[in-house]
Amino acid sequence: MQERKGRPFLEVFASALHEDYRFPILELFAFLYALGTFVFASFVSVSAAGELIAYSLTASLMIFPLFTFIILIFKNVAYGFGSDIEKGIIQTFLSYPLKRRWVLSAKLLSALGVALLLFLSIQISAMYVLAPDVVGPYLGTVILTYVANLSYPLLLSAIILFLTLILRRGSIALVVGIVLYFALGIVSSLASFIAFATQSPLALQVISVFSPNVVLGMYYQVFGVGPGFPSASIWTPSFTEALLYLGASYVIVAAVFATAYIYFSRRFSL
Amino acid sequence: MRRWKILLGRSGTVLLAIGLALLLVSLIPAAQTGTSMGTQHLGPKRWGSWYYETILTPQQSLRLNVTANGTLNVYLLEVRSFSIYDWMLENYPDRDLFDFSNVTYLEEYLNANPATIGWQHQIQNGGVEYEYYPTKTTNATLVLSNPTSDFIQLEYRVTMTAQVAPRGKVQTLATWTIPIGFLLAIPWTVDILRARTKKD
Repeated sequence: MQERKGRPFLEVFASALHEDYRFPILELFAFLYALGTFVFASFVSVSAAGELIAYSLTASLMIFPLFTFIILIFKNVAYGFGSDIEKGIIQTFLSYPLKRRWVLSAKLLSALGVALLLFLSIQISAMYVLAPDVVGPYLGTVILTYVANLSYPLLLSAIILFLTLILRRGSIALVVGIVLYFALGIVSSLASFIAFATQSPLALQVISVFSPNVVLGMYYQVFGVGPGFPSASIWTPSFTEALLYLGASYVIVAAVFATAYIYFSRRFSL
Repeated sequence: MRRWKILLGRSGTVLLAIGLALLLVSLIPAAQTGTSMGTQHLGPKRWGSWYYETILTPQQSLRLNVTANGTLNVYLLEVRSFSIYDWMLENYPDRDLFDFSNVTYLEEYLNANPATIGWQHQIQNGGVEYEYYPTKTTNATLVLSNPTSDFIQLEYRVTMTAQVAPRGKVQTLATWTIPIGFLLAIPWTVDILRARTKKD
C-alpha cells in the first residue's frame, strides 16, 4: 500500500522537477547564487560582537542570491503551477491514485524544496570558504538569520500559490507577488520613519510580524553597537521577543499554505 | 536507470556552473590597498611590534616580505600590539615598557596565548615571503624578534590587498568542481546528443 502511494508521488515530483528546472534554468541559478554570494559579502568592524559579525555577514551574503531565489520560486509557483492549471496538465496529476494534498506537496517540493536546498547549500558552503571561524562558533546566529530572511519570501510564495489556485492562472498572481515584494521595502522604510517620528515601535513591530528580519536586525544592531544607537531609543527587542516575532511570522506562512492546501483539496475544480 | 542518469547529469551540470562561478570569482583581480616598508636594526634579545598593525577581514590578505642578516623570528599575531603590552603589564606590574622589549617577555606571552599566533617563521640569514589570509575578522600585528646576542639588520615590506574571496581556496574548489561536474554530465549529454541524432 505504502509503495503504491509512494510511486505516484515520485512520478508527480519527477514531472514537476522536469518542468520547473528545464536545462539550463537550474544551472543558471546555481551560477548566480555562487557568484552573487561572494560578490556581495561584506564584514563589519572587528570591534563588533561575534554575533553581529555573523549576522551582518549572513545578511550581506543573501542580498543578491535571495532576490534570485525569489525569482526562481515565483517562476516555479506562479508560472509552473499556473501553466499546469491553464493547460489542464493538473487533471493528469489528479487522475493519479494520490490524494490532492500529496499532488500539491510533490509540486511544492519541487518548486520550493529544491530551490531552497540549492540556495542554502551554496550559501552555507560559501560561508565556510569565506570565513570558517565566523560560521563555526555562531552557527545558531547564521541559521536564525536565514530563517528570518526566508520568512517573507515563503509568505509571498504561499500567497502566490493561493492566488494561482483561485484565479486558475499564474500571471496575475506573479504580478501581485512582485508588487508585494517591492512594497515591503517601501513599507519598511515608512515604518522606520513613522517609528522615529512618533517615538513608538508599533510600526516596526507590525512589519516584524510579516518580515522578522526587521526585529532580528534591530536586536543584533542594538546588541553590537550599544544603547547609543538611535534605534535603541525606540525599540530594544530582547532575544525572546525576536524569536516570538519569528514564530508568529511562520505561523502566518503556515496558515496561508494550509488555506491553499484546504482550497486545493476541497474546493479546487477545473 | 535513465532517471539516475538524468539526476547525475544535472548534478554534474550544476557543479560545473558553480565551478565556473568560482573560477570567475577567483579571476577578479585583487586591489592593493596599502604598503608599509622599511629597514631597521634590532638589538640582541629584543623584539618589536611597530612594523605593521591593522584589522583584516577574510576579504583581505597580507603579503609579508622580510629579510634579515641573522636569525630572526617572524610572527603574525591576531591581536593589537596594545594587547601584548597589556598582558605583560598585568603579569609583571613592577616592570616598565623598556624591560618588555626583551624577547623573554614576548616568548612568555606567546606561550600563554598560542591561539594569537596566526603564522610564524624563523629566518636564518635570508628572507621569507608569505601571504596571510584570515579566516575571520581579526587584528593583525607583525612582530619581529631577535633571539640571538647580535645586532640584526632587517628589511620588511607588508602589502595589504583586498579581494572578493580568498583566491587560493576558491581556485582549488573550482579546479575540483569543474572536472567532477564535467565527468558527471558526460553520460547525460551523450544520451541527449544520441536522442537528437536519432530524431534527425
